[in-house]
Amino acid sequence: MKRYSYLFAVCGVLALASCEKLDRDFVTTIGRNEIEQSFGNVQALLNAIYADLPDGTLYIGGAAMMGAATDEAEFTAETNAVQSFNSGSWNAVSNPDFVWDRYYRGIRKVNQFLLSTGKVNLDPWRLDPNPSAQTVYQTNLAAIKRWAYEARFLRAFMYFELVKRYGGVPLLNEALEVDADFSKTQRNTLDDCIKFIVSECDSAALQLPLNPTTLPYVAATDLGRVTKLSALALKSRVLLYAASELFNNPSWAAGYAKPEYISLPAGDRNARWKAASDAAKAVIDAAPLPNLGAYKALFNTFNNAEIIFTRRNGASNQFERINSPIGFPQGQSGNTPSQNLVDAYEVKVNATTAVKFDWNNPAMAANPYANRDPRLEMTVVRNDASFGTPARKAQLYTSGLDGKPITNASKTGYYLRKYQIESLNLNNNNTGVHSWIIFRYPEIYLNYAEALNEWSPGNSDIKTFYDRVRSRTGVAMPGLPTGLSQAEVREAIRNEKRVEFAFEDHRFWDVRRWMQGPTYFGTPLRGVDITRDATTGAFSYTPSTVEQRTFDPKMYLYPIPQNDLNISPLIVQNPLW
Amino acid sequence: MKSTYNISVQLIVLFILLLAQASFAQTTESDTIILSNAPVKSLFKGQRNIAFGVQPAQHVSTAISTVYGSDLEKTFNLNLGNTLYGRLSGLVVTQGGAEPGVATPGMLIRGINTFGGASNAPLYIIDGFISNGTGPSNAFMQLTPEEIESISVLKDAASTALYGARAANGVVLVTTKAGKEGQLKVSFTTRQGFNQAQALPQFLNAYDYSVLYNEALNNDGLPIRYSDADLEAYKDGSDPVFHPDVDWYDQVLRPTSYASSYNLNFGGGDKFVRYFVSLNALNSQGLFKKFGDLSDESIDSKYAKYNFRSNLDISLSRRLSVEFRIAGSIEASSNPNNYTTGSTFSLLQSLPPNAFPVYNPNGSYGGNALYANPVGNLISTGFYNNNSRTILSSLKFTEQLDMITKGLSVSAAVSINNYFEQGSRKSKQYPRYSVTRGVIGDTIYSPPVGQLTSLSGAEETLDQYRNFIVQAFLNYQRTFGKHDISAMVMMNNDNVTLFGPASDPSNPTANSTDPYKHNSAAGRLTYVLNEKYIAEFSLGYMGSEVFAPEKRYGFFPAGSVGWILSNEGFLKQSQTINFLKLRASYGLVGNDIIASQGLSTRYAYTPTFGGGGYFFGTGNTGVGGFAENAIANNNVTWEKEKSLNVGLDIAFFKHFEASFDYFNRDRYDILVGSNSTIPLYLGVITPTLNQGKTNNNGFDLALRYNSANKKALQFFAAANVFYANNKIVFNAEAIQLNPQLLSTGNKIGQPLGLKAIGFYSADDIAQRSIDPKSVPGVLTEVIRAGDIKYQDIGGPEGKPDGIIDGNDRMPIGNPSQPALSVGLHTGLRYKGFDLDLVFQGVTGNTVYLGGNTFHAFQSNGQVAPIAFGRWTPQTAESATYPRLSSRDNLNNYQFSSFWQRDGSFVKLRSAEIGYSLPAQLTDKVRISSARIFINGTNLFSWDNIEYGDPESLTGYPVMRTLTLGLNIQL
Repeated sequence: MKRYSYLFAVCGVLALASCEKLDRDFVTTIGRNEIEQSFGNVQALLNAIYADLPDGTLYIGGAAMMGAATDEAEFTAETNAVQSFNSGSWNAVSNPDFVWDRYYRGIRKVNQFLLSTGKVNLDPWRLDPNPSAQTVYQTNLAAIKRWAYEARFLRAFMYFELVKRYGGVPLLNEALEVDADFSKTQRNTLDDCIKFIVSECDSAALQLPLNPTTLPYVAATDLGRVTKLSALALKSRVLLYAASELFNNPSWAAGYAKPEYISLPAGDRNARWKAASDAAKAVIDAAPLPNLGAYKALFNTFNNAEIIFTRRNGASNQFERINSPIGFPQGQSGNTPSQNLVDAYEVKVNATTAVKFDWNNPAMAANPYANRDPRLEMTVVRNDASFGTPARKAQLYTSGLDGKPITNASKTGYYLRKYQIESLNLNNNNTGVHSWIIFRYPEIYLNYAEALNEWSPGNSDIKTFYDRVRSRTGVAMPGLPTGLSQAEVREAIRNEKRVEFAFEDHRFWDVRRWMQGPTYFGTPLRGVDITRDATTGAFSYTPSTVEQRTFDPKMYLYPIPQNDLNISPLIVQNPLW
Repeated sequence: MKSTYNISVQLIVLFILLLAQASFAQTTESDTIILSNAPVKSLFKGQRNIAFGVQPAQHVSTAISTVYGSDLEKTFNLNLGNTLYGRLSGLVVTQGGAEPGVATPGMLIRGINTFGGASNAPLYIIDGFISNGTGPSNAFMQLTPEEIESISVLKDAASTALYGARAANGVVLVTTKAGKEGQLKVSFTTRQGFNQAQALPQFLNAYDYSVLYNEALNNDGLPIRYSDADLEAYKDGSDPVFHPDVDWYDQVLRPTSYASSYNLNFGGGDKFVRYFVSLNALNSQGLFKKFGDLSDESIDSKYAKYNFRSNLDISLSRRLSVEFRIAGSIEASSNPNNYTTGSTFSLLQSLPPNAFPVYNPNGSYGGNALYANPVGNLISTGFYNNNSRTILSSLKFTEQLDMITKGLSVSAAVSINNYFEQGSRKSKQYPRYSVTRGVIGDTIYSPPVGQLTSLSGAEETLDQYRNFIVQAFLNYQRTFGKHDISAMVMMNNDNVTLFGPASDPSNPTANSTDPYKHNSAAGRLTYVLNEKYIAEFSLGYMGSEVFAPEKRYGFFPAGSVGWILSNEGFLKQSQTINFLKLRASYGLVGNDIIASQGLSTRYAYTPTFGGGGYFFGTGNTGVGGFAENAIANNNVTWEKEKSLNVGLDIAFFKHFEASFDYFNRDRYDILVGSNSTIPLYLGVITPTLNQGKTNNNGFDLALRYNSANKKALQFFAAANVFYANNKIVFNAEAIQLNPQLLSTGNKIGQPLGLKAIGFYSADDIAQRSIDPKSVPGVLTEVIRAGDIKYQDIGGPEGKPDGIIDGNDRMPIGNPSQPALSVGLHTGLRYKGFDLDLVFQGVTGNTVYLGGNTFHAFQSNGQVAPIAFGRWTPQTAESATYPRLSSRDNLNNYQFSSFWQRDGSFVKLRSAEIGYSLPAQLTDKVRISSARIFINGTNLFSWDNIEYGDPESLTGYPVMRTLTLGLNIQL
């Protein structure tokens, strides 16, 4: 009998002993601690921050460009969210250009990355007396320091992407916990934000190599990284915006309780313009200026001296699929340039004179594409222009292969050529690289000219740098005429920016900072109706209205997402939303 | 369903004839067999299995319903779940697919209580140990009715609290038969019969198909495809090669297939050893034709299951006893290789009748690039054998510790369970050819699609688990005068390693073999005073390895009280009320299956990194990135539920019993996307947090009627009713200007779709050409007269915008789970005859008519009779179906109320009629009883669906099985 009791006692002890710990048997996922220990893994954290840079080629709904939310273009598919910019049906809940979370995600990554850089374990090299190991140690130490400035630039860039949309935003430079008290969060003033971004640019500019070929950068592996030029270029853009009308004139939002969120304190405008021109000049003076080469090819490369900073991508043909004319293989029409844009390209009368295009001029109206600024043909596929592989002439006339009334044919009478790699055969699924350029030299030139014209009209540098943009190889448009008034020069610079940077996501912001929304975005978007004479084959062109567009003053800034206002009641919504 | 009706009528006639015949034969018999026990067991007598123990039914103060193996035996089914339709109050069983060995029904206790990735499935316990796996790998589904003593469903917190963080969805508790002291009893049962499809989808023949296809082309503004001569050829069938008319279902399925089962069990014992042994074999052939007989490289569709069980109870000494249980099952199925429920039946449902002939004139398979040949797929692609093995074993020692104090005992138990499923695939390919008529009337063969290959093989492990469970108990049970006390403390530790069903079974991920571990301790104290007042307290304490180390353990308390009024003086003598008890319980329970059990979701307390690659250098070299995907959530925890149950048990007029329960369940800490609580500026991918809340309330009711035992004609009925109404109370959804799109406030699983409001008229289309937004429509399709028109209620600004899109969706119809379900088990015994019927009915659910069976010509598919009601200019007023389109129509076949139907039904799930031979006869051959019976499952369905079975509109048809059986007891 006792025996069995013992047996039982043994069982009981066994049972209790088996009450094992509940830890996982093994962990298969890598955690932050493991990542932060490793030099290579921390570098990968930085790579992931670069991946948050915007790519404007397939931007809204994976298809539409921001240009389709401006007077540059119309997006063909009615179902794309970009249309709500044009119909005015966007709001604090539904915004096609919804970047608030995207950039705050990137900002959080930077905040955490800056902590991670301090945790990298370099002991394998530091403790190794071998001289070559010591060299690696020093190189790695320097690299980690440099990464921090790259990351801080990227954070400043993302903040400015928020600021140009929302005005002053919360500056969150430490990663918050999920259970933080969100009810206390407030917006920083616009002035705080601008100052922060500028000071981050200044810090980065001091510490980063001048350009991808300056040691310790080696172009073969480091091309595409943030450079001193990138930091200076961002500062130039930021200070130009800070000097412009929108951030200095809150009159459009009369009665708004918190003007400090949407405009800078009243101050010396000339000083702001001067700061902007100085910042642009700093880029110009930083390095020998490149020769501006071929315009069309620029947008299909990431390796060109004109490019200061670009968003890199793998090879693809999605852009061609979306934007090729409807009658071409796989074409879906996509972003189609407007007559408003086409009209902005000047007519070159001779080597020294260019005039505005005018439909009321019978000669121009009869032959609207003759003698135009060469960039028109490089940007736009017009009727009867050759396109694609295998090449054929675009038939944009009524009943042509690419024209109305084909379903989803261009509504404007044009197709987009810029950024398209025409040599790709889509049926064979050929691919190529598209470069979404964030900063290139001509922007700096025009920033400089624009700012200079405001506080120092008549300064000879205005013509120098305006002409520099227009004189590039293959464009060679006449320079700035002499004897123009300050306002005429301003208009010339603005038109030059419109033309040179068509579809590069400048127009949406420039028109806003110039406070010309009602003029350009509140007016009908135009296209052209083309008919072909069946016997002679001659074309006739008639401008037409494609779409009524809406612009209300509230649209100068984006509404802050309603979700975050609900969670953080101290965050004040932008005016009129 | 016309076919069902015909068969039903035949069956009724058959039953009546048999009954009449039999009762005629019996009329002169004088020795009526008096059955010792009532046909259905009392709700309030005997012992009840409760969590880790048993309790006298009178003392139960929680919500439990029970069914007995002897009732379930009167069905022919491939898995245990299929025997439970309509059997237990509060347990809703829904038909899944019907493919043998693959499909098991859905089972929910008191409806749905949670949403998102969380599981609603109950916890299955077999003889005290958890049962793993889902679907057919769930050991519960593998059991046979013959080995089961009872199945109890524990429904409220007080009955399940001991299971702690696994208890909130309720518990299905199975107790298998144990041997009883006494002489050897042997029972042998066999059933022989056949399967047939309960309903098959119908499609139009080639002539009707072609006529309607021409109409569809015409509607789209395209030239017609079939000339009058073509139509004539389809009509008279004169040209089976170029104008074939193939009924593909007919080519692939046979009307009936063979089914049989054999069960042998025996038990007995003395005061030292008691044993129960059960052996079961079941064989059910699939509905496919015998393709294995046609080709050595195919195989007949077969399914077989073999079960065994051996339960031993041994008294090692006066105080020490041991229970040893070992049981297992083997499932083996064979099918043609290219057969899977999905692909074969979706091919059959889409393939037009005139696509190609089965065989071309030269004997090759017909077919084209778009469609394979279903017959070729089943004959000439090899075969697939699948088998699985389950082993359940346990050993439990119990020592009476009366020497310490009377009524005290201690137990220790260990259980090892194992499951393994393996597949053997032999595959090959075959060529198919499409034919065209040449200019001189000759037959021109296209180049082959697919090519002939030789048979090649692959072996794969599909699914497995192994678990190891250890338990220890201290029990105390004693009565002191008026006081009855029982108490129990226990601990349980289980460790389950499982993988699969893996998406790629040959490559299980490391994470899928990371064991699931649970530790728990629990206790229960029950006090009964004077057989009148009952109080019970339960406490579970459980830890689960999926949570952060400091967040693993939690307490789950529950209490219940009962008052047996019928033992009070004022009711004791009542002739009307024989028994009356009031019950109430309240408690807290948990559910730790809070998210799908995948790599990234199982351990929410660890972050995951990945993605975020970029490009650098002149070579555009890709570099890897580490982006934080899901941030670590250290606070992640199990769902909790506060559950209230109030019940009333009553027996009256001797023959009637009723048990009524009202319940209210508040589930909270459901894992949901934190859209409305976490600001976007936090900069993380919206985490899932324990924030969701639901409420579910309703009632269940069980009724019993037993006629007096001694009458010649005995009648019994056991009915149950269940009603539940659930609601999402909080879901942290992103703000929405179209509030009808929010799920908060709706039922769980409420479908959101467009509301159809008729068809566009010609006037509508004319109006649209002037101002498109004046008659709202979609942007993705050119709308024509006869297309389905939808209500425009939303837009980007939260108001109608003249465009039909996702903003116009709204709650339509009901979820697929019924709100009200009813079960009825009834029957009678007259002399040697017995009749046993099980009905199940549900209402408050919606079914959706989707796919090729209902959407004419979509995805190059065929057309069903439902399309005869199509819109044409002439039938604009009476049309019941949109205009036909030959292309995929992006307007008409959107998810909308147009395709919803009321899913209510009443089904006769099982019927059995039996005759027991008179005792004088059986005595002569020295057997204690012999009974012959006819059994049918899934005999009738009364429902609102004209074109099939509301529970399985597509896929493998639900099988109706008719068997003739014999039971002999020695």
